[in-house]
Amino acid sequence: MTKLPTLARNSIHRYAAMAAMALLLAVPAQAHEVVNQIQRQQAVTVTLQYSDGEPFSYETYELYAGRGATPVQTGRTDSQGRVVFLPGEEATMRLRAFSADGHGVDLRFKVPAASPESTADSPAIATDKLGRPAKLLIGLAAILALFAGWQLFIRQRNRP
Amino acid sequence: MHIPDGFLSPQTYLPAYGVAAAAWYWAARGLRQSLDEQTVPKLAAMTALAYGLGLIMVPIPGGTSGHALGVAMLALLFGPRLAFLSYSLVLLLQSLLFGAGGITALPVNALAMGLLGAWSAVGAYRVLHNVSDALAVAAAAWLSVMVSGLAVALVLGAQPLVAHGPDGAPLFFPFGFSIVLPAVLLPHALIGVGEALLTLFVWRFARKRNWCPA
Repeated sequence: MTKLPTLARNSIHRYAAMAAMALLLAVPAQAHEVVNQIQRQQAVTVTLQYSDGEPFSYETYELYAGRGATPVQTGRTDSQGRVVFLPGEEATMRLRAFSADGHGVDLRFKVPAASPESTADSPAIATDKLGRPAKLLIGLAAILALFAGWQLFIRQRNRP
Repeated sequence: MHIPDGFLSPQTYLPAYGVAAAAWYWAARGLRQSLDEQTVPKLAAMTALAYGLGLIMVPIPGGTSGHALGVAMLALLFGPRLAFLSYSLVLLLQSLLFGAGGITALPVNALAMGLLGAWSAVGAYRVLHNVSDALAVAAAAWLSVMVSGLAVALVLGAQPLVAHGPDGAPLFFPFGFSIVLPAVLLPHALIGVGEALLTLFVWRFARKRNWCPA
């Protein structure tokens, strides 16, 4: 067995020590890595739009679970005005969305029940049960009824 | 421009309810005299028009939407008091039926649009009507939109200062003055032009029929 010169032996020891140190440092360094996991899951989608159909897109939102004070999710709506989240244990959620010009919503809603057998989309929760035309007519009727009532009051008062 | 529920802190809307209550009382005084048998059907028609106009959203460049107010035509035809009361009714119905504007935000919306909007319209008309009637009506309508927008923007922009958590995070509307003022006022400068044309059209229709001007 050939004996290595002293200089070479020292170098090998130095390199071995550096390699061991690098390995030791690499263990805590792993904590800075962002690992990813890509899955397809059943999410809840809330779509926000103006009444003319314009999506409420790229606007700030905060999502709260139950009565929690800290949002479980924040971000911006997507190009279609959607907020997508995976429901947790809480049955009710609160969504606050703001645009800088003062539009937005503060919405509390129940998370639709998931069907474990089916991957099909659940029916949308009807947040607008009456429909826009019916509401418009109800409002107009209320205005006209109020003023008609006032007109009758005046006529009664002016009657000799 | 209608501020929804959840955007304003109680420190804002509770005092606003007090101010609005005083303003509604002031506006309702003398209602029996001002709202006579001839005025009621006209005011009903104009209130219904303002209600409908507020629900017609028009897309505005920049990815937002806007709508006319109709408060200037109410103010020019019936005076600021009746305009304020009528517009408050409009806001209440829009809020209850459509969620356009909130119940907690109702006093701020009513004061900004119904009162300041009406007074600024009447003020602009009185200053300018000797120059040109059409110009005065158009300027009144445009100004009513801008003044209302300014008031709404100031109230919204103040929210991060008025109500925030221990870490400084806003608890209600999150944007400050530097963001909200241009975001509200720039689109409304355009909406105001539409409002001016619409008000002028209604004004001419009303003048032909000898409806009482402000």
